[in-house]
Amino acid sequence: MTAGSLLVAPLALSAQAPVGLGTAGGFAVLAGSTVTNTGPSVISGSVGLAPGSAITGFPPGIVLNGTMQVANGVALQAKNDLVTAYNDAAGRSSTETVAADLAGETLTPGVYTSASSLGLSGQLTLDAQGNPAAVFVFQAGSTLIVGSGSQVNLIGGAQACNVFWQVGSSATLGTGSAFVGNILALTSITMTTGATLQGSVLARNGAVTLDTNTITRATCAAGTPTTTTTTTTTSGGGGTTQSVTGATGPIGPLTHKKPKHHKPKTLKPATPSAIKHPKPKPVTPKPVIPTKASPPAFTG
Amino acid sequence: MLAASAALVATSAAGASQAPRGSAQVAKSQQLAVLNHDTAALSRPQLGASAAGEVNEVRPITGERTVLPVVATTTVHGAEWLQVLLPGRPNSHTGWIEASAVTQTTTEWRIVVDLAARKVSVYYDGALTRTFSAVVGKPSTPTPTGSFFVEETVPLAADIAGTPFALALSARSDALAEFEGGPGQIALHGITNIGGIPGTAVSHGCVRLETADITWLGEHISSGVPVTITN
Repeated sequence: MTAGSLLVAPLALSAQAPVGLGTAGGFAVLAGSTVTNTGPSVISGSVGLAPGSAITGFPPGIVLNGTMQVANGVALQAKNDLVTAYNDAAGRSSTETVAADLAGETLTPGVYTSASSLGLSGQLTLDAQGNPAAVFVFQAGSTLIVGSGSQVNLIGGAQACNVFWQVGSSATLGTGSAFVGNILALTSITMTTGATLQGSVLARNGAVTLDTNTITRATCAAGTPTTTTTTTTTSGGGGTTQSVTGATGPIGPLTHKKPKHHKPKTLKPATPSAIKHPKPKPVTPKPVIPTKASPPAFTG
Repeated sequence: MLAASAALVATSAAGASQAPRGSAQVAKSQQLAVLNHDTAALSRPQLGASAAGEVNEVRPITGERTVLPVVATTTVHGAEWLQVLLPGRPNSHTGWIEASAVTQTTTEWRIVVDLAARKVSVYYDGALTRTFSAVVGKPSTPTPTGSFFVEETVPLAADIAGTPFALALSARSDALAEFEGGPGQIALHGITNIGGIPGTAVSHGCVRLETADITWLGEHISSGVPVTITN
């Protein structure tokens, strides 16, 4: 055995612990003043707001794999945990000062700092170097501006759940950008049309504004490193050449009497018609089916 | 006929039809398609193919966007197509929609209803998280079996049968073509204002749960979550 083989490889991987999000970690969207959505956004993870109470745009936005928590104890606790997480991220010792534009960079785990703004006008690659627990923390003294069509690629087992962006003021994700990580902003976060995020938008004091976005709360997978992951925009709206209406008819009153026995029915064939594009809808809260006016008739 | 280059890729939803019981394996996640507009589901992944069903952008009770489990994907002439489970009759039927018509996402939740055991099991990320005792359909109006999904989670007012939540399923009764003006839609709901003792088979086909149990489900389960009902 040679002397060289006894040498321990240089510590290439960061020893950073993940930023502890606490209960805020269950949220894909968390804000202080308002949450405003336009268009058919798909949010996977909870949406929370406190102390504000104005969440608008759901539908047409939809929340999956989570709940709406508005001005209640759950949202307040998450906001408190966000403050702790923000301070944790902001207080970490920097391992490198970076340029204001991260485009073209390939970064290994660490804490990256810009005294003022941070931006991305192209592609940023985060390389975990085979360690799926590797943590990336970005500290922006003021804004985070992600340009249209910009994207973050994860390689070497990097996971979106371990990427944190601490933003000293506000963040904006540009049109069609595909971003990765948990954004912890002091003020507000805006996702413009078609931007996607594998992570979360967590705004301490201000608003979260969405427009036809896909946000998937990132959860850490245990064990094996992944290969290359590139977030992509799958949101459509361009339409197909066919569109029809009238799928499931309205459901009548909910009673549990007088069942009628089976009468086979013939399904009507679809009739091609003009394309129906998404149309603006008034913002209405998810209804609680009222008293016996017109409740749904399940079979009971 | 499909293009020769088309490669059909089954998604995790295929696992949903392999009824898990007890220690059975359950897929960790399920690909979902959230409709961006009304669309026709076709019998084949090809424009001009016959219709397999028609799906509105939103669900009829809550107005929430329609979310369909994806059971397979393929690419034809450069266009991605998704084979999705469809709501309504015939139970567990599928159709093809263009990926451009939807926003894709995933869920880690999955529900399995075991009619013989009269239990509802809830899985997250492939792990069993909750098991509830339930009322299931009586022999003359049995709960249908197959691969289904939650069409919409419906909060119900206090004086409505089944309150406080109903998880309206894509399943329809095989015994009742309609029920008081409704389409014979099967749901998981509460026992309040309707009755039944969990562990029995006395319902018209719906699955009834204790109030605390359906409340937990209503607070955790959203549209598109796969529901497998087995005998």
